[in-house]
Parts: sequence; C-alpha cells; structure tokens
Amino acid sequence: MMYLFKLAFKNILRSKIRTMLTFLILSFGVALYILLACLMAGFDKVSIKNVIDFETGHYKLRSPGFDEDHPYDLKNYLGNSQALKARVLKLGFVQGAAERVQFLAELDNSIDSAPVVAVGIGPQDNQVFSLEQYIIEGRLEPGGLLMGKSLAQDMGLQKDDLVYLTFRDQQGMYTSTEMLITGIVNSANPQVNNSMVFMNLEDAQQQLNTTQVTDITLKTDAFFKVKEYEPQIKAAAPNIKVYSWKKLSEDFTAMMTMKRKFQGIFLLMIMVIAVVGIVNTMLMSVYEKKTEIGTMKALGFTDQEVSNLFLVEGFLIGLAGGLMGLILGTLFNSWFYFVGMDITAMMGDQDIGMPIMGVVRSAWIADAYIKALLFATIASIAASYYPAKKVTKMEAMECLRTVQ
Amino acid sequence: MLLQVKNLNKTYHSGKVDVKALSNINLNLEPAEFTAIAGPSGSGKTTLLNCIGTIDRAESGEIFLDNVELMGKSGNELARLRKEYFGFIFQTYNLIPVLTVFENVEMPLKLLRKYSSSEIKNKVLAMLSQVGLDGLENRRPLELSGGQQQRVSIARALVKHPKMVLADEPTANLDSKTGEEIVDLMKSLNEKEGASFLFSTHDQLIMKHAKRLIKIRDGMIEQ
Repeated sequence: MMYLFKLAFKNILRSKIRTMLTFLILSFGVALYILLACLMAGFDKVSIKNVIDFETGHYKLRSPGFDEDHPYDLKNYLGNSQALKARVLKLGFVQGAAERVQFLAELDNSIDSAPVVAVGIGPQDNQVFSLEQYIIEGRLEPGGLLMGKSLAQDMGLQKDDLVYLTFRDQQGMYTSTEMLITGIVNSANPQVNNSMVFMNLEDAQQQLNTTQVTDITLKTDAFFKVKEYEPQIKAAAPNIKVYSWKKLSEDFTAMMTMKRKFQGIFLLMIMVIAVVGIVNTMLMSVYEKKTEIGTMKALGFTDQEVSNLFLVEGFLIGLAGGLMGLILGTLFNSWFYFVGMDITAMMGDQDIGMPIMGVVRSAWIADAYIKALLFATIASIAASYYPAKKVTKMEAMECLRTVQ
Repeated sequence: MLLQVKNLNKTYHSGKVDVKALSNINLNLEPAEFTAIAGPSGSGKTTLLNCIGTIDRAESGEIFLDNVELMGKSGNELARLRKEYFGFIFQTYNLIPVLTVFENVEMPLKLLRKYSSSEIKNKVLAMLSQVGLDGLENRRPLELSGGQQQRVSIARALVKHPKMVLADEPTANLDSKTGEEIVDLMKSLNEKEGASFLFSTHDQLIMKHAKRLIKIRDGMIEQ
C-alpha cells in the first residue's frame, strides 16, 4: 500500500501545473466554505447576543391572556408585577428581572411622523438589557425620551428637540404628549435604532394611565439552559405565560436554519465544480499514462491494484487540496475574526433580516473544518472512481499498443 | 519443458475486416534457451510474444508454462503468473518516467512482496551493476540514452529472476552497435541467470546472436 502511495504521489507531481490548478479549485472551494461557515457562525453569535441583550432577555413573563398575534394589544397588561418579580428573583439562577411596558405610538416632529414602539423601562433595566451601554449622547431623564440614532436621523431630530408622541392609553383613549429628546442611542440592534423610543417606566405608566407592565424580562446565569430553567420559572410563575429567548426568536432561528441549508447547498456546488475538475484531471492522467498502465499490468499489477493507484491519487489530491483549503480558509477567516466586517458601512441602517449592526466578527468553527476536509477528500476519491474504473476495463495489450 | 504452445490461433477484428495474426502456432521452449523469433513486420511476432506473456488472449489453442495451462486463467491469476514467472522487455523500454532507475528496477520486487527493503536494495544494485549502470540509479529515464534505458528495462525484467524473459524487438529503437551490445548483454544474462529468453527481431545482425531461431511469416511458423 505504501508503494502505491509513493507511486501516486510521484504521479500527481508529474503535471505540476494541472495538479496545482486542481488543488487551487479544491482548496479555494474549501476555503470559501470555511469562511462562509465561520462568518455565518459569527453573525449568528452576534445576532443571538443582540436579540437577548436588546429584545428578549433570557425569558419574558407575560399576562395569561397575552395575544401573540397582537403583542401590543391593550389587553396584554400584566397585573401584580412586583409580587411576580419578587417570586422569580428567588430562583437561584435568575440574576436580574426588568419590568417594561411596551406600546405602539406615533412619533411626530411637526413635519413628519413615524410609527414606533415606545418602551417604558424600569430602574433595573440594565440588569437584563444592554441599552444603557449604547447611549451615545445625553441620557434618559425623567420626562425625557431616548431614541434610536437612525430614527432620529431619518426624522431630522437631535438631542433637546421636542417631539409629539401619540398613543392609546390602557383605557383606549388617544393621548398625545410633548416630550423632550434627552438622549440618543446607537445600539447593535437595528430594530432599536430604527423604530424604538424609550422613556422611564413611571412616565410611561403615567401616560398610559396604568400601574401595570406588559412584561417582565429575566436574565439567568446560563442562556442555553432553556430546558432546565423554563419549568422552574413556570412553577414560580403559575398562570403566567413564560417565553424563552428561543421561542421569542423563532423567526430568527428559522432563518439560521435556512442559512445552514444554504451553506450545505453552497458546499455541494463548490464540490461539484471541484469534482468535475478532478474527474478531468484524472481522465487526462489515465489517457496520458496508458502505456504505463499497460506496462504495470504486464509487470504483474492486477486491475484492482492499478485502479487503486488512481483512487490513491484522487485521495491525495483531495487531502492536499483540502488541507491547503483549510490553511487558506484560516487566513481568510483571520481577517474577519480580528478585523471584522462593518455591516453598517456596507449596508447602512438597512434591515438585512438579522439583528446586527456595526462591525461583526466571524467565529472559528471546528465542525466546518472537519466537514470541509472530509467532504473534499471523499469527493475527490469519488471523482477518481470513474477514471479508476475505466483503468480496470483497459486491456494491457490495448494500453501497450497506444502510441504516445 | 518450460513452455509449450499448441495450435495457437489469434485473429484481430478491425471493423468488418478480420486479420489472422496467428495460425496454428506450435512451439516448445526449454529452460535457459536464447531464442529469437524472426520475421517481417506484421508477421505476428509481437502477437505471439504477447499471447505467451498473457498480456493478450488467443482465441484457441493451449499454452503451458511449467505444465500450468494459461489459457483458462482469470485476469488476476494471469497477473500473478506474470508477476512471478515473466520478465518483459519492450521495444520502447516503457520505463515509468517519474521513477528513478532504482525505483523502476525495484518495482517487480515490490510487487512480489516477499523481500525486505534491504534485500530489495541489494538485489537492485547488483542487477544494475550486471547491466553496467553502476552509479546511475538515481537518474530518471529521460536523463539516459536509449541504450541505457533498455539496460534499465533488462534489469527490471531480470531482477526477480523470472523463468522466462519476453523481449519484443528490444533493439529496434537502437543503433546497430548499441543493439548488438544489448543482445550481448541479454545473452550473458541468459547464461548467468538461467532464464529462458524469447525475443522478436527482424534485424539480421541480431538474429545471428540467437542460439535458436524461429521464423514466422503471416502468422505461421516456417519450418
């Protein structure tokens, strides 16, 4: 077997340019796949973080009658939130609980208006959400409004400007109130930047004419322990709807699944191109080595041994191309891991369907490396199968008669 | 008796045309013979050698090597027989260009899988010395002259000490002087190694070196 490897190795070095081109196609494909997988994983990681930090927390507690199809319905208010909050905070793994009241409103600057989600945030909000860390100007003051940077830019607003906020209170009465913009937030979540305004919980409750909240958001010590923590939270909050971040970001996780499928299709396409290249290389090799094949058969190589030689050549091309691809992929990915990609610079504030903004960095995914190397090697062996099979059908005499 | 060929027939089919390449060939060969098959181009010399060497299949007849019938064997069995019993020398040398002289000569021994690396090394170097290629073991075939390449081919054929060496026009691509040197070398190896040589030629100068001459014309042996 070692002798076959030695022969195969010498054979693939015979046509250096052709071998190099095949290596390049294969390694470039592998590198692209690795880059794509690592970039997507990086995007997913940041997206999950942004969803949790700005929207869902780890769990949300909502009223028993919460209508998922109409999340801002006035009937969705949660009563007796203080007692509920105290109960869930007794659970050892709950690190923070934030009450919020969320409602739909129309923001008016006397020239333009825009629909927004208005959010009243309590003093413990920063135990759960990261909003405070992303305030780039001013702060949230009593009676004031904090708004997203993109929304402010779109409406030509800045700090210390006055705006009108129109909404229905809990009794369904239309209310319009003038508010001062006391801060601007530029978060990593486009939804916060583009369509949300924040005010103090007390102010919001006063405007809405209620003492209730729409939800209590929890932060636990481990976001991934959904199966373990959810039943305990439900037990501590009977008759209350408990939503994990996974449930709340179903649309987004469905998109992640789609992306993974797309990755699979991409890998398949790359490998089809590589396989065609390898089949071509191996067929050329078979044709060029016809006399040698005949000589080897005359010397006593069995059909299977000669065929194995071509399979080993395919394996070596796949392995070497795959390894080269891993190195190239690592180099490409290093740039995106250490420097990152500025999504906002590329796409502006557009919603790209993922809760990400600013510089996003890729991740390192061992799984992608293993998959790419295995796939490249197996595909390469498979691509060599037909030429190898062709060799077994060739008679020694027919090969020796070939004039080359 | 080393080789017995009985009533061997072979026809090539080319489209609608059938060409009778061998017609009722009968031939016996003893061990350590040095026999030439002579005849003009297209007379069937190469076909006969190829059928004896089992790299071509005859339509009918029998071939016995050491009393073993070859005609009914499977492809793998024939490959094993070629590996163990036959050495081949080709007109165009047929060396593997990516391998060195040493690696080309060691190939049949590697294939036999019965010698250690050091045994192989000793056998190959000894054989290269016998064919006068000392010091050239690391050269590639294309770095050698035609005569030197044919010597490598001879070394490759003989390194495993086969019972029979089949050489198809071994001197056809060489000048007369080199051709005679090659035949002299084959003859001396035939005497030293005891392998039976059967080679084809249409060169009168080469024929005279043969201990036995078989003439063939239109696929038939001339008595």
